[in-house]
Amino acid sequence: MSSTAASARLTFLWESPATLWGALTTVDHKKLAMRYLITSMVFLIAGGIEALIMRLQLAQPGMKLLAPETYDQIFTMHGSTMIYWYAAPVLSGFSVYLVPLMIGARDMAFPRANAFSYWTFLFSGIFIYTSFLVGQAPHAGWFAYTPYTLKQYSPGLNMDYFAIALIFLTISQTVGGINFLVTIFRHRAPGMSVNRMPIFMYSTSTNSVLSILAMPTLCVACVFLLLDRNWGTHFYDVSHGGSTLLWQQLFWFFAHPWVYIVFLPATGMISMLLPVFSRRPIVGYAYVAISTVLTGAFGFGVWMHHMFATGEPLMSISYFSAASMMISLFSTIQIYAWIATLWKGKPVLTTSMCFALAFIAVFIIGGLNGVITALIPFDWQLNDSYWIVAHIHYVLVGANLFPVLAGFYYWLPKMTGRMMNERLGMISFWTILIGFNAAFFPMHFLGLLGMPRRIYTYSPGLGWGDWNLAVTVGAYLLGAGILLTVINFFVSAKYGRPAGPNPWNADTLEWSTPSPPPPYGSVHIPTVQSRHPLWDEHDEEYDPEDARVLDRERMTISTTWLDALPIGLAKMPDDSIWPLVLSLALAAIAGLVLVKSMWWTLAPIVVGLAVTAAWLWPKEEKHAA
Amino acid sequence: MSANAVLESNGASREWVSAQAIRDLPIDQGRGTGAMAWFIASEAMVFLGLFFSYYYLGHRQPRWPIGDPPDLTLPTAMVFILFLSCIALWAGGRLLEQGRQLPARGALLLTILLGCGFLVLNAFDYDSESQLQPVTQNPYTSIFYTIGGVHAAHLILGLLFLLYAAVLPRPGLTDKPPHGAYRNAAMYWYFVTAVWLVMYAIMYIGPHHVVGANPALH
Repeated sequence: MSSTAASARLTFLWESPATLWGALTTVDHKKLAMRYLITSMVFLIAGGIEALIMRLQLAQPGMKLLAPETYDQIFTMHGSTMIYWYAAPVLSGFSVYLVPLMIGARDMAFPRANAFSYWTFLFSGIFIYTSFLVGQAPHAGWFAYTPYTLKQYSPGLNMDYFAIALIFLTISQTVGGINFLVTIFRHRAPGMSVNRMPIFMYSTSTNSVLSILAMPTLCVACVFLLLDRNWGTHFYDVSHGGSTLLWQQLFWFFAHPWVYIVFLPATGMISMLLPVFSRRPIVGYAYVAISTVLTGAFGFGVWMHHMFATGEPLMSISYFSAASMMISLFSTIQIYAWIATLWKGKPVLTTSMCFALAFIAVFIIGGLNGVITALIPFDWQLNDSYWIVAHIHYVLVGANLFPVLAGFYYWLPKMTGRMMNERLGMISFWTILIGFNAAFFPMHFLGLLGMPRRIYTYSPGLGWGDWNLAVTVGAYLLGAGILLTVINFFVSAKYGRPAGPNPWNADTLEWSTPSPPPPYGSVHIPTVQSRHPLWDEHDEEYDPEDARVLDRERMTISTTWLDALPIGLAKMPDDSIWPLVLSLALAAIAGLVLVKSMWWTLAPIVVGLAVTAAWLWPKEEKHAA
Repeated sequence: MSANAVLESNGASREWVSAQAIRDLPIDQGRGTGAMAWFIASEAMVFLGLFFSYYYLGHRQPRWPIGDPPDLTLPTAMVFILFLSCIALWAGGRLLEQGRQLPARGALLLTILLGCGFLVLNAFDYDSESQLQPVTQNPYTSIFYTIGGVHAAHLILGLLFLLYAAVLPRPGLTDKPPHGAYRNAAMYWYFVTAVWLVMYAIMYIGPHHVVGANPALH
């Protein structure tokens, strides 16, 4: 059988029709990933606009642009949008796109659950943004500390929106995490044993375990909050014997691992592209892989360093102080591995590489200004000051946005089939780098000068005005840089020069497919014999008898989790509308809980259960004759 | 030697997975079990968060539980009911492995009936307890009934899983997705049973033995 005939049959099997129905029912991981990436970039821009509005208000002392209540809402939505609806989902977008291609699978292990994850993420984001329409957006910060969030201090719908939207998002992240783990540990190409997996697989699977194990406590905390606010329980209410710190314990038990959720896949992306642009394999593969996993494991043991100033026993916070210093060792190992790779290699300064290098520099600053606050007395001094704002932005923007932009410049040619414009890319890079440092470096000085975080204005004569003006100018410069990259994306996706399958001469399997890849990935499921399939001499698609084409029905190969020996053929489902309907049912439940029509929620619950049953019901699948 | 000849000489590496080996592969029926295991891990963290809250709320109270410890009669009976249901479920699994579909379905129905019996007793127990101590009375009643309510909700979900396996054309391993519905639903049922045992130890037995002043405060 000729390869064209095989690819025609595979296209017939895997391609979703280019109709509206096809768009709503598709389970193609590449299409869903593009939606993930675009949606999360829209949230980045929304969160960015909120930041820029805040920076106008703070540019000079005593500004009256925003009323205090409006400022609180904008400030909360900035943090929540960036942390929950941009930073993690954008990485899910990369993972959904790259994981099946990098391991040579035809799709994710559960393609419909993948669609469900996306729709749920989208609707949870839309849900929380509808709060602006009723003028009652969440207003207690992305951390939502009690008692301020209890009914007596916050009588509106604001915090109900927050709690419900986060429970909603939890579902998306948990389903996504389970999907990544089963995909990575069951569908790697034959021969891709764990010691040959791309580092990105380690970071994505660690991230998934963290999502699965950390998000439930957020869910519990939000359920308690809803019950306290609306149904008269006393979890957080100190006047009735509750504990206001219970929220902080549960929340930070979730939110510290969340820091690694938004950071680890980003380092995984750097570990993929930095060696390619250094023209050599990564130095210390095993150490990078192990330290990725250990960062995730230790990430569960440091949450109380967010609570040093709450009066918890010194004995317990001492332990968390030590653990917080220790966890930086694992990031340090990764940083040394990257520097050694650069040192031993022949670096090529593309835009993507520049973002990766800037990431290392910025992340070192963010690590250093953070690890010193692991010292308890130092933390007491700087607690709730702008120093902490500087730290969170150096680590989150540094360790998430810079790698994400590096990843975009690296993988967009694969996704769109066209190269990004390098000149515009470099202009954008320098604008972002200068804007970022102008915006966030002066915050260290503001913190040392005593400016508290989370304030909507400040008096003149404190010496904060000039630094704040610098921060505001920097923030606008950063925004302009991002805008340039967005423009670059649209221009290059249309007019860029064709990328070809492997424009960077990279080593991993996603570059063996055409750009953009066909819906089924590669015609023959590849086999792998080294860590760098495209750099070695083994022919991944050598398959003279077409045994690994699997063009009878939607199928991919299942392998053992450790050695990736083939153990079965996994049947993959057809396109389906049910994931979308189930997400809509969840959205209906969220809306009904918001307006406290609890009996009415039974209707979408019954619909949801019926839809799930229909989704899973065995049926005849699509066959290629 | 040409590049191709180098590859040919390394024949084993060239085609180490033979075409025949791929053709002989069975249909993979294990994906769902992997997903269920991770789902249970996530659910276990929900209960860990709840039990943590139970202790955290109690650790600065002079008495915990606030008021009398819960009555043991019905909860003990409920332990036995779930225990019996697990035996029936396990036996049904063995029958299914032997290809005996009908008796396996019977075992599944027995499990479901016992699960419903558990729910009835649970509702009855909470109804009589909450007349003495309403849910909104204090942090203890809040967390006590919240844990119980969350567990009951999970038990209902487990019942729906079992019911789904019971009405499927083939509840065992099949070459059509979903694979092994019986096995996966059973895993979840064992999990909700295990959670009830932990609840029974922490929230029912425990308070009867460490009743009185909170030792942490003395």
